[in-house]
Amino acid sequence: MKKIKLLSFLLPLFFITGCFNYRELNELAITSAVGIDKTEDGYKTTIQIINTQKNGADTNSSMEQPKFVTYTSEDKNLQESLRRVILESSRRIYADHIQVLVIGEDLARDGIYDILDLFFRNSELRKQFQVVIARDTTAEDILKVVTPLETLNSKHIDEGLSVDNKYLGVGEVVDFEQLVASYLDSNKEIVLPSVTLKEKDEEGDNIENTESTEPAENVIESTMGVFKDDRLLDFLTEKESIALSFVRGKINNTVLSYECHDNKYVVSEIMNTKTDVSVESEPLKAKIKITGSLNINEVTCDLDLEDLKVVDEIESNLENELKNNINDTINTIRDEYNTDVFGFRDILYKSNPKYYREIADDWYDSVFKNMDIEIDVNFDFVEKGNSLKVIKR
Amino acid sequence: MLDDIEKIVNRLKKDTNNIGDIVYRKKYIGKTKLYIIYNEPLASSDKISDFIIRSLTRIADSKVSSKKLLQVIENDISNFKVTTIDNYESLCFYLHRGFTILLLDGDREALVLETKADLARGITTPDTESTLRGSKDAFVEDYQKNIGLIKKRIRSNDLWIDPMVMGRYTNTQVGLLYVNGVAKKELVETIKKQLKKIDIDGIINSEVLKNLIEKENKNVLPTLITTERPDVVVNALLEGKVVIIVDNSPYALVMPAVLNDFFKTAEDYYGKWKNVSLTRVVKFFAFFISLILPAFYIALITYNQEMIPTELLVNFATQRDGVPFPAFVEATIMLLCFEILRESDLRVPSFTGSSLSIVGALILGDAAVQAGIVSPIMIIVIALTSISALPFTEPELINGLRWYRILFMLLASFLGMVGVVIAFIYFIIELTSLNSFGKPYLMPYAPTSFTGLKNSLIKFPAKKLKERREYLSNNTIKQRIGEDEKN
Repeated sequence: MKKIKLLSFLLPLFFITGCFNYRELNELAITSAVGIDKTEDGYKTTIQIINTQKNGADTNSSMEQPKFVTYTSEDKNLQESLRRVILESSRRIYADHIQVLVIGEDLARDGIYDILDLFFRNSELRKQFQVVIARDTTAEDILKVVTPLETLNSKHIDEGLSVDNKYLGVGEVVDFEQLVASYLDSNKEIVLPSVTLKEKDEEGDNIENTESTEPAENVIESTMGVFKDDRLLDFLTEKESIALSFVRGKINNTVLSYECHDNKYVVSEIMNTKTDVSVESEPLKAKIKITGSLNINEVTCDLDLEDLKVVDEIESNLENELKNNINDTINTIRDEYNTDVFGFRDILYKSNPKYYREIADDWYDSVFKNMDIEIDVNFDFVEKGNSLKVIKR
Repeated sequence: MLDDIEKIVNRLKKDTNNIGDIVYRKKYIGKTKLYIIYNEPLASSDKISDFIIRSLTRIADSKVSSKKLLQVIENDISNFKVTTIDNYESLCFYLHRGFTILLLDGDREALVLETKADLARGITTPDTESTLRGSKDAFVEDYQKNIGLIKKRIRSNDLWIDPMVMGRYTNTQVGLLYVNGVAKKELVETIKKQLKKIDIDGIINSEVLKNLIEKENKNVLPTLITTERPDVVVNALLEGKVVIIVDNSPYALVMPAVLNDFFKTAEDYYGKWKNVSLTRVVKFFAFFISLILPAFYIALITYNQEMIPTELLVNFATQRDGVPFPAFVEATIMLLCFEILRESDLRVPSFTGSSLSIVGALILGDAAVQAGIVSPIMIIVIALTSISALPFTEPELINGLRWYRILFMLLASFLGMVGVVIAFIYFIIELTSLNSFGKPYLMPYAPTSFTGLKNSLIKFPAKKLKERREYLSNNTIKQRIGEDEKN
C-alpha cells in the first residue's frame, strides 16, 4: 500500500515533464553548414540543410534529389537573419551538427566579432565546426556548389581541409573553439583557412555538375588568411602558407623542392615534422627549430644518390630552401601586415612574463618588427626511393 | 492391524469408490486366504505374474504351516524389494505407487512388493540447454531416474538426499539433494524449512515448487536456476548449492542463484578459460544490449541527437523519413510483434513453425519497411535486442528482462538520455536489494567476493580455481583442479 502511494506520487513526475526538448528526427532540418555574408545594411545568411528525404517509395526511380538544399535570408542582424530562414523551411532548423562555418571575404575584412559572439553564446551548438573564409567569392556561392565525391558540400570542405592540412600544409584546420580562444587571447592573432571556387563556364549549383568527369564548378581549398584583431588583412601565397604552418607547428607532412638545374628539380616529401619555437629575451630573439624526415620522391637532375656527399647536399639544399622560405615569409608578414600570427608574443609571455610586460606596449610599434629570428632546420634522410640513380638510358 | 482382510478390502473398495483400476485377486495357500492387491495402471502385470504369482504357487506346493506363512513368503519370494507394513495408511501409500500388496488372512502385517510399471520415457538429449560438448543426457519425468543420473555422477556417501512427499492429493516425491560437508548447513535448513511450510493440493512439477519457495522474491528476475542437465546439477552440488528434484518433472531446481550464475552455461565448465571468458564478455554485452538498446535508440533520436555522429544522424534521418509514428510507438509496435511471434513460435507445432517464421520475417521485416510503417534501423534495433536475449537459457531471465526493457523505454521516451540513466540507477537498486536464499544477487561483484570473481565475468585458468566460493560453502579448501607442482 505504501509502495502504491509512493508510486502514485512518483509516476506522474515523469508524465509532467511534457517531454521537454522532445523532437522527432523527421521534424528537424539538419543543418550542415552556415555561411554568412555582408550586405549593405546587415547580413545575409545561407543555411545548408541536409536533404533526408528518400527518393520516393520506388527505389529504382531514376529521379534523384539533391542531397542538400540551401536557404538564404537577410536581415539587419545575424540572429534575426538566421531565424528568418524558417520562412523558407518546413522544419525546425537544427544546428547542433554544423560542420563548417563559411565567412564571406567582405565580412571577414570588416571584422568577425559579431559572428563569434552569436555562435559562442548559443548553448545548443557544438563548437567543433571548422571556420573558413570564402576567398574572392561569397559564402552563399560556396555553399551552393554540388561537389563531386562527397554528397555533402560541407563534408567536402571539412574533410578537404583536414586532408590538405595533413598532407600539404597550405591550409590549417581551425575550429570554432580555437578561433574564439585565439580571439580572446590578446597575445594571439587569428589565422583562418580559405576556400574558393574553381570554375569552368557553366554554373555549378545543379546536380548535373557531378555528371561530368571534370566538375564545372568546385570548391577548392585556398591559402591562409591573416588577421589582426578580428579583421582579415590579406591572404598569403601558397608558399607563405606552408611556411606559416611550419612555424605554427601545424604541419605534419608536406612536399619541398629546389631547383638543381635549369627547370630540373629535386622533390622530397617531408614527414614527421616537429617545430620548436622559443623566444629569448635580452636580446630578444625568436628561435625556430624544425626537424623532420626526408623522403626523396623525384629527382630529375643527374645526381648520384649513392654518393653520401650528394645526399648531404640535397639535405642541406632542402633545409636552406625551407629556411629561406620561412625567413621571407616572416619578413613579409612583419613588413606588410605587422601581425604576430606566428605566436611569438604568446611564447614570450609564457616563458618570460616579467620581461614581456616591459615591452608589451611597444610590441607592434617596434619590438615585433625588429626582433631577431634564428631559423634552424634539420632534416634526416630516411629513404631515397626504389632507385638510387636517375632513370636514364 | 491388517488381520481381517475382508474388512480391509471392503474399506479400500469403499474409499476408492470401487474403481476398476485396483485389482483384488483372491488366492489360497493351503487354507490361508490371501489377497493380491495392486493398482493396474501403475503396476506391471508382467512382474506380478512373473515373480509373485509364480513364487506363491511354488510356496503353496511346498505346504508350509499357515503360522509362518508371512515369513516364508517374505523369504522365498523372488521379488527383490519386499517391505512389511502394518497399517491401512501405508497400504494406500504403497498401492498408489505401483506396489503390490499381499494381504494374508489373520496376519497383522502385510507384504509390499515392488512391481512398478515403467511409465517414464527413456533418457533423451537435452532440448532446451544444448551444448557442443558435455554429456548428452537430460532429466526425464521419473524421480528415480533423475536421482540415478545424479548418483551416477557423484558416487559418494556424502551425496545426501532428504526425501519428502508433498501435495495433499498428488503426494509427489520431492528430494532435496546436497553434498554433505560442502553445502552450508544453514542453507539446507532454510530451504528445508521453506519446503515444510508448503501445504498445497498438488505439486505438478518443479516449476510449481519454484514459485512456492521463491516467495520472498517479488522481483521479476529469477533467483534459482531450473535445468534439465545432470552435469549442471552435479557441478552446482559440488560448489555447495542445493538441488531439488521433483517427481514428474524433467527440470531440477538449483539454488541459490545470483545474477552471475545465469551468465554461465554447461559449456563453460569444458571450454578453455580464455575462450570461456570471451564468451562471457559477449554475453554480458548481450545482456545490456537486450536491456537498454531500444531505450538508448529512442533517447538518441528523439532527444539527444547531438550525441550521434553527423553521418549516422543523416543516415537515421533518411531512414526515419516518412515513418508516421513517433519512435517510441514504432519501437513498441515492433517489440509487441516480436513477442507475439516468439510466443506463437513456442506454442505452434514444429511442422508449422517454418511457415510462421517466413511470415514473420517477410511481413515484419521486409514488408513493414517497404510500406513505410517502420524504419529499417528500428527493425535492426529490435532484432538485435531480441537476439541478445537468446543466449540465456533461463526463460525467466529473458521474460523478466522485458519488464525492465519497457521501463527503460518509457523513461527514455519521457526524459531522453537522463531517463535512461534514471532507469539504470533504478535497475541497479533493484538488483542490489534482491537476494537469493540469503545471498546478495550481485554477489561476486557487490559485495565483492574474490573467490567468486575468479569465475565470474572472466574465468580464471583452472589452476587458479582451487577454492570454492566462500559464500556457498564453508569447506573452501580445494576445488579439486590443478595440483601444485613444485618446480
